[in-house]
Amino acid sequence: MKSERFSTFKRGALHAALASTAVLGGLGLVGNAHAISGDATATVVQAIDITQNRALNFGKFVASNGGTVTLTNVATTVVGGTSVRVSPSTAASGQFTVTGDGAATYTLTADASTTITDGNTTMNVTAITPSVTTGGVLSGTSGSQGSQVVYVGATLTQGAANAAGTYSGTYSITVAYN
Amino acid sequence: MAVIALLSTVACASVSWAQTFTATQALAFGTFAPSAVAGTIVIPPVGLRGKSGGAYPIAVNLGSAASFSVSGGGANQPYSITLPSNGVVSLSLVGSPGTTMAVNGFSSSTSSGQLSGTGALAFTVGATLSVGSNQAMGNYTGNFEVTINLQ
Repeated sequence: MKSERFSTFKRGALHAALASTAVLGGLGLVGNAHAISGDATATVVQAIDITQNRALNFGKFVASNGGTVTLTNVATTVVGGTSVRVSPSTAASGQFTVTGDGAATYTLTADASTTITDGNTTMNVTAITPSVTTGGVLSGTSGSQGSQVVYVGATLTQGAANAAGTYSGTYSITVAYN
Repeated sequence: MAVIALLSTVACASVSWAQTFTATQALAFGTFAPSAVAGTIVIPPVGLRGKSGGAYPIAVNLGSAASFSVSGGGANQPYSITLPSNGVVSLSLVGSPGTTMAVNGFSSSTSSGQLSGTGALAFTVGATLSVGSNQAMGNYTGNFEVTINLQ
């Protein structure tokens, strides 16, 4: 019985103290402003780029009434088609290196076709096919440079009008981060 | 005894009004690449990261809006939120503070209203980051001030 009374008294005193704190705090609530500083962050990595290491080269073949030369989009180019080729062949797929942020994915787009010319006549280059289109993945981890080698194959069509000579042209290839 | 009981209720409720305003998540613009063309990275208060111009978001870090929470306010207490004005906030390249990117266009998931019945509020803040032509690589940090006005 004695200890119970003591306890009640203590609680009452505590409540009174809290009530006075509440009044002061309550006044402070009216029209008050609380400022806080939030952090902001960003990570800039290197821009994506593409460099040609090796030109798309259909090699040497004999002038004729018509024919094709095909190049596969792999490192060790497989040359095919109906044209009569001359050895030793210099034919090769196009080779590029894509550089950018490690592990990043990217999309590569290339012109589907172009023409090459000796200054007098032209030959069509079609089916320009990169080994990577969507879903390219650069090596390494984000924050350091990654890279990927890409190959380009295509088909050349020669015609009766195409005299012996050296033909050249360009095609466009573009990379962008996904 | 009845009076003491009433005081006790007020006291406890009032003490719990000790408000806390907490930044629970940083405003993260995530990972992106610059190019020769300037651009922006946009973090909306709600929704996915956007871009314009020559800034290219990279999926390795998608970024996120900042999160803030208020607790211990009065039940249904009116509030308004003040965000930084344009031209005030920028991020600096870690290790090279002179290299910066401006942060403008702050917006929040709510600008004014009433706290909940328990005196709480959670909201998010987004903004637009200006990325320069060939912006230098690296990690950028900064901070911004958000004010909640309780009426």
